[in-house]
Amino acid sequence: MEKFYVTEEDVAQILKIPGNVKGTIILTNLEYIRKKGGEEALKKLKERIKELEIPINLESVKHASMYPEAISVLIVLLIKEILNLDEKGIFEMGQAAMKLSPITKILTKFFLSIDVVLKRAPEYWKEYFDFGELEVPDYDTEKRYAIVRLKGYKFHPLLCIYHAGYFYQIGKIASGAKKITIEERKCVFRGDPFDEFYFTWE
Amino acid sequence: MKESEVKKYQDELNELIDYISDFLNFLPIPVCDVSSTFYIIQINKAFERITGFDALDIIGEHIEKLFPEKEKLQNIISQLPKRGEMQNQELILVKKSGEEIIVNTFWAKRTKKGEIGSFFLAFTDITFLKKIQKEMEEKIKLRTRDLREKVEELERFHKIAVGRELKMIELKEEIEKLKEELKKVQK
Repeated sequence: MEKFYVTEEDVAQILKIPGNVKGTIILTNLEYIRKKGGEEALKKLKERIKELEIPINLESVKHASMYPEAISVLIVLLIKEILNLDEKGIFEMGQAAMKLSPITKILTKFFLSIDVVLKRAPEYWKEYFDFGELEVPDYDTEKRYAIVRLKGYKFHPLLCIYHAGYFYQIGKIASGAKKITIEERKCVFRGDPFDEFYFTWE
Repeated sequence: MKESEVKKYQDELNELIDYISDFLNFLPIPVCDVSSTFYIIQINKAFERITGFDALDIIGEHIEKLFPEKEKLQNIISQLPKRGEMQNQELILVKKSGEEIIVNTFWAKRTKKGEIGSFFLAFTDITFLKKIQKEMEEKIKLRTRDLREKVEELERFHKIAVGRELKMIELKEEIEKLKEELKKVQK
């Protein structure tokens, strides 16, 4: 695998993209790097943030406060760089974002059933982000599939894998199914107007 | 909503989250939140300490990963939605290391608008107590056996002693009879 490296150009380009996210996403990603790489990896992340002049003080991040999604994305990319994560690792980090966030259990007013989760998915997105939209244009709980669309979100292709991991984890808990699959069928980085995930469970 | 109001709500929510996290992590008892489909969605530090599983290992896993006694667990799963609360349910828990411990579990249902929101689960490690209890039971069993043997021995002794006493009485009577007969012969 070729060494992934976040450059100053990446930072400049990503920081231009507007939109905010709740700090809980940043905090869970920090917890992920600490768990996977220890304090040393976390220290390295802080050093890289300083080096690349990313405007964030990690010590003051709070779960419910809003921060630029661009910064959150850059942190994900830096974690990939530091932990040398492959795509599977990025997917796992997306899963971990759901696992490690205390706010998810408070704000996510579901875990009731897959039906409720799919119906409320758009509001759920809005609890975290002040831009973009999450839609569920088609689903069938008997045939056990759902199509989830993410509109107005275009930061970096690796975030599609991260989101797939996040959706997978929520779908797994809500459906109670043993076997889950998630596939990105459309992607803004491949010229589609939105990201589209096809989710099935057995 | 004004920006200042939003900020105020966010600050309050941050405080609430910090409070809940601190409180959960202070609790010396393992506690977890389980979805309506019985998947683990939240754990505290005591849970991590006792089971050896951290959030990355166990959140998103079915509760059966912890409790291998399928029949007993199924019994709880089927009764809990109706009963709402179940206490003192003894189960074997398998730690991350594979070690088995015995835990006393407490379950409670959370409802939201008439639907099951999730379940709370708390447990205490009673392996040591169970070990002591087992040892005590073994001791009581041994003592009872010893006691029974002693009683039997006493009964045997009693039987022998009483038999001997009766024999003595018989012999005394025999002597008396013989004395009488001797007297008669001497006359």
